[in-house]
Amino acid sequence: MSRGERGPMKVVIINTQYVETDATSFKSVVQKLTGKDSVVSDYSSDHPMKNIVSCPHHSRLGLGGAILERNWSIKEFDRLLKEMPPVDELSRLWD
Amino acid sequence: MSGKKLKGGKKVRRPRFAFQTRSQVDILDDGYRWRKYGQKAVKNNKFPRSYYRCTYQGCNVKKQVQRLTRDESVVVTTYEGTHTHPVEKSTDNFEHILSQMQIYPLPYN
Repeated sequence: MSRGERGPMKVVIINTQYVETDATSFKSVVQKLTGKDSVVSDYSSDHPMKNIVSCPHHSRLGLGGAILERNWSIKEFDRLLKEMPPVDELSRLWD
Repeated sequence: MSGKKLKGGKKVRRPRFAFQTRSQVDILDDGYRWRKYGQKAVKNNKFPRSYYRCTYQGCNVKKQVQRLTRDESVVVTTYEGTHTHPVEKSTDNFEHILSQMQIYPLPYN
């Protein structure tokens, strides 16, 4: 295959690994394989997961007096409840 | 099929993981935030494929979401790349959701 002026051949290797998970373990396995500290070639190891990393600052929501503007769906409530941190952590949000 | 564009005849491998999960929900929470940048119809499949990019500044991770036709209870989430940043703290994600609901009056500094 003559390529003329276009330079040497480029080779792209697409290597897909298939993973089966259930909905509950999905999050942890995804983070294990694609997260910042992932050891991709070592999937079967017993590395403890370093998920929770302390942030240097608290994020602030600059909403300043936002009002409830719309009706919530059950789905939104569910999501909120699912993401809710433990109660003692919650008090930090209001410091 | 996404790959990686290269110069000079070099070979590069990028890790790619296709998660098959039995789920009624297309978007499964993986602890990261995503923005959709595309959707297209797929041959021999009645479901479209959606494309997402991690919203974290400087992070290049992408994912595709595709529900299977041969087993409609299964959704395939394909990740490419490794995040350059840690996962959100649980309180950050909680605040993020609250901010989206706009219920959260906070005093300004």
